[in-house]
Amino acid sequence: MTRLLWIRIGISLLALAGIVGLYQFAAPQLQPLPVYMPLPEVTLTDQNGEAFDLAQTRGRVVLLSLIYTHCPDVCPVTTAKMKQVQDLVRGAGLNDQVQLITFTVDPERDTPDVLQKYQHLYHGSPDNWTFLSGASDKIDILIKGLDLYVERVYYVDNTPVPVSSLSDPLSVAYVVNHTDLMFLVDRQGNVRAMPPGSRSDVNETFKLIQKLVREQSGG
Amino acid sequence: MILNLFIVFLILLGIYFIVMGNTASHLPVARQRRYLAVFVLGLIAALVTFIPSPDLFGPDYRFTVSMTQVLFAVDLAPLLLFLGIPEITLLPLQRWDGLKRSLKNPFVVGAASTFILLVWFTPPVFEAASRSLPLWVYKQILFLLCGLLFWWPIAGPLPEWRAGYALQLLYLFIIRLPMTVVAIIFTFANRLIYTARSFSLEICAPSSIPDQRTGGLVMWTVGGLFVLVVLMIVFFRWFNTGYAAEESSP
Repeated sequence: MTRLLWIRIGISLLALAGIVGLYQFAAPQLQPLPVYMPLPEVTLTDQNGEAFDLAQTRGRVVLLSLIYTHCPDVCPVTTAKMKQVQDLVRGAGLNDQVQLITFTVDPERDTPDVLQKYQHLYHGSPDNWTFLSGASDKIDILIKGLDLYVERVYYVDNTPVPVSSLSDPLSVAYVVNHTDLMFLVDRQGNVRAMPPGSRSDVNETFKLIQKLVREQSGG
Repeated sequence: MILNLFIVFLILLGIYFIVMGNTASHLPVARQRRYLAVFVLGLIAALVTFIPSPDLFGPDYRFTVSMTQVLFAVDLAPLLLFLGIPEITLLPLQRWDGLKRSLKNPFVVGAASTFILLVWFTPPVFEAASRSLPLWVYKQILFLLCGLLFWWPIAGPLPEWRAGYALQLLYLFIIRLPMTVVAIIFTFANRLIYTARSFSLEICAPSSIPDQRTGGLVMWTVGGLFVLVVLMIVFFRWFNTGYAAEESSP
């Protein structure tokens, strides 16, 4: 290959990198968000002990997160980010159009009372932020519908042990490994974005919320 | 992540083309192509180490995948990258005598790179990197740089800057021992060396004892085999050099 050909190809590759970079930057703003899956329709129990049907959120943009209150690392960060999003939503005057929902993946320990205390701990306003618990089979519908990974890991002497070796698993300390995602749901009940949970950027998540609010109000 | 890596790939390859055009375009076309092919393979091997391990083959064997990525970063990618760069491209470096002295001494670069690797394998640092994507990416960059440093005395593009063959063999024998010990600990430990507390945020901490053992075994056997193959190549090169010298002597 001649010197000129090497350099031409090199410059073309750099230009292509620039185009791909520009596309990556611009594409999310130009294109509508994809539709991933419908939000499962299931009735759970909110932090006040009242029934909460997920179908009742139709017509509002929903940001959904999952936690368990004994979680040592991911969930506190996720919940703190939800609180920050709630503040941004309130600041933009979108309280009536955006609903925040946090559901537990450990319903045995996270009763409505426990969730209410957890919400107070994070100063979450119940106006448009609901914490949900419920029977395990109901939570499982949500877990399966959103294609989530949830597994309990039991620890004895700081070492994970198989559940089959335990006579009374609930008496043993356990953590719940789970997918670290949030779900942004449009007014028709379709999941349109999945910010990376505790690692998500609050401002980026809020931009996505604004985009969905605008998209469906024709703004 | 994949798109970001693709952009980095294009940028590095673009720079490579421009540098090659300015320095190595007079080489025979077949050699140019060979350099290019090996460099591209090296670049791919290097960039594969930046895909978070759970994204590659799921979370169950993330530690095993991560240890395989360590081998890519520390062994495979640096060697291929060095073999993909012609000597003439780095000739301007020859002005820096201090750098030459440091890189030519295998035990200085070997000790430095091994020390950095071992620090990142201590539980607090490893666990921190497993729960922070930016820190993990920084770790992977450091591992790659350690690999380049480690292999320079054996396969650096400037032959004058390489150590002598006898020293190379001794270096390969000794310097990998600490990492082999780490791999053996992973293989035989009955408890998790690194604690995994959450699912999605854990990039490389083992998901289970079998994951830890498989990771250790990969690092121990595949890594050891890799070094053994290089050791044999170095030995035969040395042998051939001695043979050629004997043939040419009157």
